[in-house]
Amino acid sequence: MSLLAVDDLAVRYGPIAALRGVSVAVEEGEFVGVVGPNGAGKSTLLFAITGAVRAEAGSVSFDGQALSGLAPEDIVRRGMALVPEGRELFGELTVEENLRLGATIRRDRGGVEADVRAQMEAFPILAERRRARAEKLSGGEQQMLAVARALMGRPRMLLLDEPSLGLAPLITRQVYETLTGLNREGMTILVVEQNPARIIDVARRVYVLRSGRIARSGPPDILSRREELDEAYFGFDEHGRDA
Amino acid sequence: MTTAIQVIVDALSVGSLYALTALGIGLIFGIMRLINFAHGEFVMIGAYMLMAIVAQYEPLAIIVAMVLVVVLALFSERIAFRPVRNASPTTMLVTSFAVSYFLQYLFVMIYGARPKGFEFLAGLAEPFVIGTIRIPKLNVAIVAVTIVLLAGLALFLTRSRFGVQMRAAALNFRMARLLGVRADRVIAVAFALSGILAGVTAIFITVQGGTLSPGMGVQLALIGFVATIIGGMGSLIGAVLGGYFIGVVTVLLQFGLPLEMRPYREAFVFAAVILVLLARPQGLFRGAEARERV
Ligand SMILES: Nc1ncnc2c1ncn2[C@@H]1O[C@H](COP(=O)(O)OP(=O)(O)OP(=O)(O)O)[C@@H](O)[C@H]1O
Ligand SMILES: [Mg+2]
Repeated sequence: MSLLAVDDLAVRYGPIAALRGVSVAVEEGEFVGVVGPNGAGKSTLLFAITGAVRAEAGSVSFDGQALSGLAPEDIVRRGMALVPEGRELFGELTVEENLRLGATIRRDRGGVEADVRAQMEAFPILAERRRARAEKLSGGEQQMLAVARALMGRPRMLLLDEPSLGLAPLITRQVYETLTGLNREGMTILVVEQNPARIIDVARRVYVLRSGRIARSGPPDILSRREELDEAYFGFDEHGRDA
Repeated sequence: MTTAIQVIVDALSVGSLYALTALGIGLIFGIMRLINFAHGEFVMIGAYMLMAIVAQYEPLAIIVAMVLVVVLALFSERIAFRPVRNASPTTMLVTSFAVSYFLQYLFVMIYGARPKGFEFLAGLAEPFVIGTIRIPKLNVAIVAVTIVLLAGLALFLTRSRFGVQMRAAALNFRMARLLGVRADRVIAVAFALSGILAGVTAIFITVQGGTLSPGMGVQLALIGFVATIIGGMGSLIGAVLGGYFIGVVTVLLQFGLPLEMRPYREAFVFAAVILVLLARPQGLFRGAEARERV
């Protein structure tokens, strides 16, 4: 049984159909990528999984339990953490406050303290800038903080939305090294990216999302076959609208 | 010199009441983008509750009235505001007016529209006399209690785990929820806090004014709302400063306007507000430096 099973999920924003019957499965311990062009519905997919937008039809289950109708604050307690597009740090709060907010769902104070220290060791810049406002960090540092914040909730699965957005190639590589490291230690990961190149070396399996549908799925090398990718990215109908 | 000190104390105490009101409105706006005009009615009902319960023992009246206003704030959230939480800003605004009018006319039904005289904590009307300076004890009490409340709230929002969660929710409600911050709880606490602020305001307004009427909260809520705009909506420090700003302007006008113009004081206050907003549409206290939300 898959850890995360998304089945025939549909989401609309008024007249716009953002997802039109998407099915995705992620096994425990897997590193899965979803790639797709601008407006394909990638962010919507992650928001629908985490309860931040309501699905019109279809279902999401995590660890065998249906999540439909649950609020985001309940879904995160089941063990899924989202690192959203653009990080969405609380810019006016300090680095440390942001980090600790990641532990909102936890009751074990001692464990939280230990994890704050552990994250600050893993990302020394966070210790150095702990009293600075999060908005003062560089893009790469903010991405590290966003990942560290998500980890503070001790999730079983991490969902990331374009973690490379706006980052220099070197920094992007560091972010992905962190992610592969986490995956090696057993963390299940689902990453969404616009640029297939980011995913191709790290993901075990990929889905290509286009116009709210899964156009293709399989091993990452489907992304390196030029014609298939072009078709998947730029194939027939318009983005996101009803055909 | 003597007059200057009296004017300053006056401005601070009027400003304190406006600041408490602006804070009550700003707390809820920050988290749910709702402009709660019923805040004025929370104050009005607090005042009537004081009158209803007073029974010769004022401390009891204060405690019971405070509790009732907090319960009222929580109840109105649950009944009226929660169902429109995700609705359009217009729907939320209309709901807020509806609650405000409903409560006003409920009290017109119960107590009549006529103002009622009510003396409460009469001892506070006495002044402190220092040489030639006479400062009403009430004004000192208002300023002191406001400072304590503001300090307490600031500590809560910056030092407690839940306070930080509330600030996070005000900055980015969806992200806060994605991290596990419970939406219902954060909003309920914001309403409870604004109920406490309304209860305290009710006590002081009652002592100061000596008369109660069902419409007494309307102008207060309007001023509180304007103060949050002057402060830059969404900033709690801005709301407090905006409240003091309007208080100072009001008292200076009261002191400086010719006698026959004084009844129109509020018109001048709002004219000043319009000028401020023309010059600084983002609010007075929302420059590059003062972007702190707490
Ligand atoms: N809040 C919203 N209201 C209305 N339409 C929306 C909203 N959010 C997204 N959409 C639309 O839904 C579709 C999918 O958007 P989504 O943000 O999920 O795409 P995406 O794949 O994440 O794009 P990007 O690569 O630009 O981040 C787009 O057509 C977008 O315009
Ligand atoms: Mg996106």
